[in-house]
Amino acid sequence: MQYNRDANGTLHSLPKPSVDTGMGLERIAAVMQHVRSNYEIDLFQDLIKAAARVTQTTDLTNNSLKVIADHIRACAFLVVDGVIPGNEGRGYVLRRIIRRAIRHGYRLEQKQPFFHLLVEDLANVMGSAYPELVAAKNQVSAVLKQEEERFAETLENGMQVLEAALQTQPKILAGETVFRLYDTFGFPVDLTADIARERGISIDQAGFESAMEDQRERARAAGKFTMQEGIQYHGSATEFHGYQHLQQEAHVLAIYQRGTPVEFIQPDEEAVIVLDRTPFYAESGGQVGDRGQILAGNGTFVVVDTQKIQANVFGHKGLLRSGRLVAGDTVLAQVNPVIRANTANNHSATHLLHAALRQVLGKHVTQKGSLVDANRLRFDFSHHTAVQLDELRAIENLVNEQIRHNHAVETQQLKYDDAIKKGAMALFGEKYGDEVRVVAMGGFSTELCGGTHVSQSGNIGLFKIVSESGVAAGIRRIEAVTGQGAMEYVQQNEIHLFKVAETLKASPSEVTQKLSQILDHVKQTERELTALKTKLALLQSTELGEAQVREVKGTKVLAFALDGASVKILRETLDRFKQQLKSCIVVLATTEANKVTLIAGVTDDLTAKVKAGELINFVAQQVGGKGGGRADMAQAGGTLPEKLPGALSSVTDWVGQKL
Amino acid sequence: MKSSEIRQQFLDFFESQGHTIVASSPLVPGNDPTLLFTNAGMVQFKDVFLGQDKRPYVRAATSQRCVRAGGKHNDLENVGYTARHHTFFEMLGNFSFGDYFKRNAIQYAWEFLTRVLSIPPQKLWVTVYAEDDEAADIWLNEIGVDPKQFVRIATSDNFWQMGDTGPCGPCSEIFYDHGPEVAGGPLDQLLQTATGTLKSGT
Repeated sequence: MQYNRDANGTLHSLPKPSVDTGMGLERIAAVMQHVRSNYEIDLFQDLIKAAARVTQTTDLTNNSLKVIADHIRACAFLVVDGVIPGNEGRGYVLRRIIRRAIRHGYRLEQKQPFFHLLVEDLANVMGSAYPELVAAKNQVSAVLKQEEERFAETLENGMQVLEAALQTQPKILAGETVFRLYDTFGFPVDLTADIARERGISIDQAGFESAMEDQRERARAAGKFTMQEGIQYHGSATEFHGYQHLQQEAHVLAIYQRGTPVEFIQPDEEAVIVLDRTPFYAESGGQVGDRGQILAGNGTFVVVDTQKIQANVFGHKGLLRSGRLVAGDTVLAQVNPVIRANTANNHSATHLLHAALRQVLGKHVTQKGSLVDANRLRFDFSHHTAVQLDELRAIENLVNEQIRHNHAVETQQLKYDDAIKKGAMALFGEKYGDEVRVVAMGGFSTELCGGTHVSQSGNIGLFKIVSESGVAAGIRRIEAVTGQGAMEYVQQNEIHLFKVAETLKASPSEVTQKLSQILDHVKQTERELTALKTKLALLQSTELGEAQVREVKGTKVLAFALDGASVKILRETLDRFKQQLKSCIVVLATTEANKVTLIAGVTDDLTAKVKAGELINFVAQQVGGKGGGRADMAQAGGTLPEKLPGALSSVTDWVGQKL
Repeated sequence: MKSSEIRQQFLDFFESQGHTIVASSPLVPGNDPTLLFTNAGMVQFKDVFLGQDKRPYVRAATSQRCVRAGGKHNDLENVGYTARHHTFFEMLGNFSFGDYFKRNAIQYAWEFLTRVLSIPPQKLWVTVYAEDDEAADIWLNEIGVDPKQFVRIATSDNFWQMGDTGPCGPCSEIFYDHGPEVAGGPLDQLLQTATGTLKSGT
């Protein structure tokens, strides 16, 4: 590079010209290996063979294999570099590439997850040049697999919808259809376009955009926050003084009721107040808006929320409790100090948590979302697996250690570049102005942040994680409490423990031991109970059976149902009768839910004339089943319990014919 | 020669010429929120070229992982169906930060292709920006490129720029001729089937 081009397009010679060169490795490899396509070079051939293996494809020239071989490289390295499949920005580009690869697998009739299996092959091919790929391969594979499983749920159904649409829309695929595939089945637009193009069909892009816009409108209409709706404010901005002050004199610049400016409000009327200056923090950066009150000469307005109605205009939303509030009034704006302090505890603790997560879990952890109010904090971050219990303990300990260090929390206004040079954590994709506010806690945490914080980290008192969960692929959520809230949480748990201990008549430290003793005892008791039940049932069935014995042509025949008996009991009862009666024919039945179980036995002296297998089949057919078996013993099932009594009473006649 | 050997020979060659081998930067550019993904070797050095950052070296060589998808360069639909479209590729690059200029850049490129990789010079075509007499002189009189395989191009193909403003300058490109079996005349061949490109932006 030789020149510097200025805004007018004039070229100025650079005092020290520089050089930038670039040569695609794949192209030069194709030259050196005397092949015509980049896909024929060694590196791609290895990946194409691997793609053929995991999709069980034999035709190595199939273009879908090239697509998959190309895409695994982009996808694997994007995950290595911290991109997670998502619905916007880089995450969505990654998702589109993964889903395109999966669809090409589907085209090769591979409907099981296969894409993630290629990470290992890729590491074999490229790992020596890129050790970071080898180090992260398990994580990469897990992220890809999760995305595959996610898309598998909708791919098949989406393909059916698309196939049907392509049949009926032979020239252009309607925007509505493209949107439905996008919205319901997770088909990125270019994926749908890809498939349509294979049939020589194009898609109605404009129709898709308008369907998308309709959806956005619906979402907006359903949005819960309506404060700024319709407020047309053209006055001066609000000066924010809430970092230094919790109360302050101010002037009422405007009052709005349901979006309309009014001159004054009366008791019990809701309104949004705009002040020329305010100590109230308006919701931003995940921290909720301040609450408190605005006192006029003869009125008290209770503020329940503060939101920005424009970039630098704060709206104080609330209700006039008494008196009167008039535009132009001089008022005293007072932030509720307890709520503010609790919120500050949670916000500062969020910074400590963020730094601790990166220290314990690794530098791949970045903030994906945050919510801070007076009661708790919620922090979403990138991480691929559930945070283990021992990791959670380590994180909790680290945060509490930093709280006990009682760092002075320092805030500074810096130029963005200077702040980043100082190691401040900026949120990716967040827009910052030239001047940023940097919040630092003793070298442990430095973040760009506009929120309100404690003055000393010791004010937080105690930090306790209350839950860890997954919110989306590759994104985890931690919820935690601080200060008095954390104390109450711990005490509440202790109360539970004491109650359990009391019920178990054990000291808290003996609870687990005592509980496992009790569970062992319960198991033992249940085992004995089952044995006793079996014995009792046998006894009852024998008694019952003796009363049921019929004589048919001199042979003892028994056919009856044993309610609630298990198959085991049926069999034991059958054996017992055969022993006891020496020469007999027995059919026993039991029903459970809508199923009938039948068993038949014939003593050996009678099997020449009566076969148990035939007998059971005769009975089973009457209860909607079928069966067979040996001549001396046979078992069958049926589905019509209501037909059982008739079937059992038919046994004597059937036996009579055989004897 | 295997791809991994080419990559290694490239880095070794430039190291022997006083370049520091720098690791590939991540695909997510750390210093440029306007760029979706790292798409060229120079991305990690952008601030150095602009004079806003300093490094302990003035010559560097990299094998940079790059992604072109989703942004301005979006070739997703072509990937798999053409010989040269990829979402991911590796860019071998050498860089001078106010150190050497056209003469060395051209000498290194030519030496690497013809001596290290032993590509026959008669297979190579060279283009320069039409007004860049300095580069033309080096190619024709110092390197001795066959004038029949040398082309001056007046379009932006041979004038490189980082953006609408900022560093820019003429560039020189080397093409590999895959042979007469490819359809079209010699010039078409060169431009349309240009491969093995060593694009040397000076």
